[in-house]
This record gives sequence, C-alpha cells and structure tokens, in this order.
Amino acid sequence: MSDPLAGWRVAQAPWYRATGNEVALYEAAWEARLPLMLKGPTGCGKTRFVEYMAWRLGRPLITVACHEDMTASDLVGRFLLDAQGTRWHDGPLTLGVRHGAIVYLDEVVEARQDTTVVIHPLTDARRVLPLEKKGELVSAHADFHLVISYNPGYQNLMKDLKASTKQRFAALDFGWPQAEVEAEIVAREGGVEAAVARLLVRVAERSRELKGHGLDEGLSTRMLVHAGQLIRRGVAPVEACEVALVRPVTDDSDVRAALQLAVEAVF
Amino acid sequence: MHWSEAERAQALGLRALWGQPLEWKVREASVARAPSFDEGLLRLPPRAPERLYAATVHHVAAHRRYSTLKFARGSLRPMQTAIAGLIEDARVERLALQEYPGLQRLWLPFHADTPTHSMNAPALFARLARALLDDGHEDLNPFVAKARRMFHAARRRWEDPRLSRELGNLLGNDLGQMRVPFDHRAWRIEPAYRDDNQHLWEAPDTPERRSPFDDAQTLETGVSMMQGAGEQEPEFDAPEQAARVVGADPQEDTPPEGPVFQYGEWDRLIRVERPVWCTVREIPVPTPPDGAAAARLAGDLQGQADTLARMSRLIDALQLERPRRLRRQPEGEALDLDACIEAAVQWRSGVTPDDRVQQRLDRRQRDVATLLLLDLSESTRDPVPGTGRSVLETGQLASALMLQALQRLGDACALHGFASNGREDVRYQRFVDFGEVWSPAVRSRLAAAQPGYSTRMGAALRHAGAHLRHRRAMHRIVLLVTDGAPHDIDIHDPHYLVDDTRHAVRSLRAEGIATFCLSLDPNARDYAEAAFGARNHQILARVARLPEVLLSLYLRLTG
Repeated sequence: MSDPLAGWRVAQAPWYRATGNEVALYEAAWEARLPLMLKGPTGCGKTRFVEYMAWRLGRPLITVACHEDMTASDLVGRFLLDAQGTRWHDGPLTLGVRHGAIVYLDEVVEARQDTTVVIHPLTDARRVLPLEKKGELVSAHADFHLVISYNPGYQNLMKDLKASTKQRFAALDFGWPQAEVEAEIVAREGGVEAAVARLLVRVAERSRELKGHGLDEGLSTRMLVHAGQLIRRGVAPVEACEVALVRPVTDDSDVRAALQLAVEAVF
Repeated sequence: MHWSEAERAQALGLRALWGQPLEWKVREASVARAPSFDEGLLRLPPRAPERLYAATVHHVAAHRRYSTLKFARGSLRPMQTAIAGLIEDARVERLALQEYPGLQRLWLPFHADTPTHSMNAPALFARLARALLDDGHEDLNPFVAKARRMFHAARRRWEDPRLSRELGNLLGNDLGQMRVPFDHRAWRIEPAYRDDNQHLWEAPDTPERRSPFDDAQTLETGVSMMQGAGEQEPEFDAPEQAARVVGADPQEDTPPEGPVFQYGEWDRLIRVERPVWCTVREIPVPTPPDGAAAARLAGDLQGQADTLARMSRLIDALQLERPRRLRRQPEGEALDLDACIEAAVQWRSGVTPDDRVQQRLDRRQRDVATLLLLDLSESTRDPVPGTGRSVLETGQLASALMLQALQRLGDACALHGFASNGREDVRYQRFVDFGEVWSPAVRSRLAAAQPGYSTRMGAALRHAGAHLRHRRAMHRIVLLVTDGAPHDIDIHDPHYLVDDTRHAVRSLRAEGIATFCLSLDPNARDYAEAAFGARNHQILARVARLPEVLLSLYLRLTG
C-alpha cells in the first residue's frame, strides 16, 4: 500500500541555524510526544525550525496555515460528493493523526476559538480525535505530534488562545537571534557577503527600537533575507532596503522617514 | 517645513538610531538663530527644510552621546574656543560615523563645497570643518592641512573629549600668530545644522548666561547666536512646575461630596495587598449650561468631521447592522436550493459537483463593553504643540469621537475620568455611563472636565473594574488613556505605583476584564510594559493624532 503521507515527507535537508538549545528541547518533547508551542514574532524562523526537525527526525510534516474563516471541518475532514455518492475525506489534522505525522498549525491564534478546541482531545492523555460527522473515534498513531505557532506580540484582545488550550502545550520562545547569528542567517539565505549581512542586521536592530512607537514589530529576519536577495541581484542596498524593509511594513509617512533615515545612516 | 510637521518623523528617527528621545523647544520665529543645545534641551528654529532638521537632530544626538565633558574656558581666547568647538563637532561626528557611516551623506551637503579665497577666520573654519569630515576633499591651505594631520594623528584618542580643547588651544594659537582677523561677535557657526556648542563650556559665575567668549556685549542684530545674555524666550513655566512637586503633603482641599468606595493597594516591599487602603470618591459631574468649553468642543468635533466620516465608512463596511445571508456555503443551517440544483445537474453529468450547497445567516455578533478611562491629572493641562489645545482637550475630542462611533457600531461604551490627591482622595468622575446616548448635554459635561492633581492608576482601574463587573458581555475592556507614569503626591518610590498598577491589571484580568493602556508619554516604555504587558499598551508620541488613533486602535483591538 502506498504511503499516504508521501507528499509530506521532507525530501531535502532544510538549512537551520540553531540559536540556543531548541533542537535538544524539541527532541525531548518529541520523545514524550508532548504538544509543543513555538512562540515568537513572524519571520524569525519558527516554520523553518519545524521543517528542520521533521527532516532530522525523519517524520512527515503537515503544515496548516490558520485563518479566521477556517472551520473545524477544514482541519478534521468532510464528506465530499462524487459520481458514486458521498465519500469521507480526511482533513490535514486527521491525516496526521491517523498515519503518524507532525501536524504544524501555523499562527493558530488566527483561527476562531471554536475551531481550535478541536485539538483538545489530542493534547491530553487520551490522544484521540472524534470525527463526529462520521461517527468515528480515531486514536492517534504513536508517531503523531502536534506543534503550533503563536505570535505573542499580536495585539488583539479578542483573539487569544484560551487558557485551557495554552496549558496543554510546552513552549519554546523564539526571538531575533544575536546579531552575529542573524547576520550568518541573512548571508546564507539572502546570498550576500557577511559585511552586507551585518549592515542589514544593524538596520533591523535600529527598527526594533521603534516597536510600540509606530511599528507593531521591528523588521524580521525574513525581511532581511528578502533585502539580501535583491542586493545579490544587483539592486543598490539603500533601494533594496526601501523595497524589502521599509515600504511593506508601514504606510505611515513619519515612520517611513525614520526607517529610511536609519537605512541611509547604516549604509 | 514647520517643526510641528517634522517633529514626529524626527523623534522616530532619533529613537531608531540613538534609542532615546530628546527634549526640544521651538524658538520664536522673530529670532533668527541657529540651534542650541544645553542641559538636555534642544532649541530649534520654527521653520527649516526637513533635511536640515534631520542633520541637526543627529548632530546633537552625537554630542549627547560623545560630548561627556564640559570644558573650562580658562585662559583660552575666542579663536581657541571657536576651534575647540569645531574640533569637538568633528570628533563626535567621526565617532557617530563609525556606527552609522551613512550619516556623512546627511551632513556633508551642508558644508560649503568650493573654498573661498578670503583668508579670514570664518572662511578657514568652514574649510577646516569640511576637511575634517570629508577625507576625499582636497584642501591645500597649510593651516587646514596641518589641522587635518593633527586630527588624524590623534585618531586613537578620538574617544577622549579632552582632545578637542587641546587641539583648539594649539591651533587657535597658530592662527592668532598668523594674525588672521576674527570678529567673534559677528561670527556664526557654519554649517547651518551645527549647534552653538553652549553645552561644551562650563557656565560662568555670573548669574546671566554668558557666551563662551569673554566679551559680553549684547549685539543689536539677532544674527550672532553665540550670545547667551539677553535670551528672549522664557524658560520652563516656573509656577506650574511648583504645583507638581513630588513629595509634598496632599493639597489643602476639602474632598468633594459623593459616594465613597474603598480598595486595597499592593505594597511591593512587603508584598501584600493592603486592604482598605485607598478611598475612591465618585464626584458627580454637573451638566453646566453651554459655555465656552462646550462651544470649543463642538467646534473641534465639526473640524473632525472627515475623520468621523472615514470611521463611519469603516464601520459600515463591517456591515454589522443586520445579519447577512451567505449562499453557497460548505456548511450551514439550510440548503441553498439553487446550488443544490446545480450540484444535481453536475452529478448527473458525471462531474464532481460543487459541495457548497448550503446557506446560513452571518450573525457577526459583537459583544463588547468598553470603559474609556481618562487621566485628568494636572499634566494634561499642558499644551499639545501645533494644535492650540491642551492634552485634556485633545483627549475630550478623541473620546467624543469614539463615543459617537461606538454608538453607531452598537458597542456598549462608558467614559469616566480620574485624578488623585493622595490615597484617601482618589477622584473619579463618570461623564457617560453605559447605555447613555451621546447628546449636547453629554458634550457639555465632557467639555467641563478640569485637569488637576495626580495619577493613582491602580485605584482608578479597580473602580473601573467594579463598574465593568456588572456588565454582561463577552469581552469587557478598560481602555486607559494617560499622559504619564502612575504617581501620587504621597508616594516617593517610583516603582511602587507601577507595581500596584500591574497588580490591579492582573486582578481585573482574573475576572475576565482586559486592560489596555494608550500612553501619550514618549518615555512610557520604562514602565508601561511592566504595568500593562507588552501586548496591552501602546505609546503615542504625537498627541495631536490622538483622535484618529484612539478610534482605530479600538477597532483593531476588538477585531
């Protein structure tokens, strides 16, 4: 029988630069099949880390990008109609539960709370997933592991994980790496020289001073990689930063002026 | 460009590169002077091109970081002090360039490009200034070349502030011996973005502020900005400062009549909530007959008509007024017959039918109750630059806009205010209660609010929480608008009330009431995160934007 999870196996080793002991901690959580929460701002390496761990542990990885219109059926599955009649189709969560994949719910706080409670029976000692519409109770495969990502800086008083959800998880904190490490990442992923990467990291550091003062968050590592990719293709650094860093992150003309000044001052 | 237009961008740029804000003050337009920096305060011309403001701000920031020594004039002559200042300018700019090389492109355009042929001191100074900043610039004048050599030879000592005075002494001596003419009274520092270096020199013993030069003649023209004597603009308003002295006894004032409530307060040193420690008095808010204040608020509201229109469009776009019927849904309450028929047709044709055959009503229900809590302390009397209004008046306008918008949204909203005069006299005023409709009477009540006293946040938050506790709503929020740190006249420990505020916020949270703080204090980062949490506060540096920011903040917070 063919491997139902073939499409989700991580074929090539993803490049990941560890910043602390997160790899060892993840492996420990994995061995205990402890549900894991990765907390940190967007663009700091959470998704890349999960891919890397999936490859390292040799497990398939099913990623679900959560959003506000996501219903429980989108996670769990639904009946579909075809020429022969109705047919049950497993959702990504059920697929992972049944066959033993790592299921990664990215930006889980975007989904409505009545959707996220679907994961509760999987995150306690029961490790089961009830499929109510189908009348089936799926016991989790021994290798099933649930990982979620969560951006704690996101300010919305309505959208937060319920306390009863949060306490089912162990958490790893992700943030901006140390400057030298971040420069290494930007150099490698962006394809630029170390000196340029270091300057890009300086721009990001300056921008992070503006957090709460016109910017919700400072510039992320991912954005620096984008800037690097433009620079590698011959765009002048100041202009690359304007396009990849300053313009996407704010429309406020005063904040833009301040960021542009920081870019010009650093380069 | 007027400073008020440039201020916010400059403040942000300053914070981004140097991490800390500066205090500034705009000069009267009639006095044509260069920027001046002293005692942590930067005085700026009211109008200037944007790049000039930026160059000034970052030059002064470099001074603030690297000019750590005040020089004694000693026996230095005017020529020597002028050159010492120039070397110091070059030194701090070089140090800044080590971190931010791009700043050279900001400063260099203001330096004269072509050397003049005149050999008087100001011309030589300008040439020297440029030569010290721009390594690629050629200047064959022997004095300039020598100064440049000496400056670069001392490269390893650039971090030492004393270098400037030493070089100023030597080079000034040289120039004096060459008998180069120098009229220090008529001299103006070049280039235009550099400040007059008042901060470099120790203040003389005489009570008047004198220039670093020995000669203290007051000039008739306003051109020379080395003059300290005869300064026109007033210093900080002394009487107002006295009113805000910390540590004084509670002001002699009979507490007003009104219902009284007692709350505990967290004492961080003994780590216990002292029960029955604070007394909150609800002061009735009179509805005065329409006076000047109400007319002003009405006028301001008219002036904000386009903000309100924009917000109304935003709110309408949320289409919250009636439930919408959504067709062709994958899940729903009833079958969508049109979709069913199409699906049946597809099925018979052997095509996978579209499974969105249901319909439902989208009842996007908002169930939010918000208590808008305004800080009415004395500091809200301060003017907001560029608006002709005080902080409190701006807050009133922002609250009025928000109340009207929220009524349109159908969200429950109340508007209260507070100020404190010691722990036994925390004054709480209810301008608008839940369920009250916006009306001219409400507007008069709001407009009549008076600033005064201090900011005992914890007690006010607990009382606001008591009001919200009785509301049935899925989300209950206290939205606090304040212009400073929590503080009261009977508290000497700056951390005490911050910790108590955090404790109050936590106890509200335990009851399911969220607290969000919108702070108008640019230095709020020191305490706002500790008191409210990283996610539950926002700092608004440019207070004039409060009306638009408050409403959009609320809409963003409540999804």
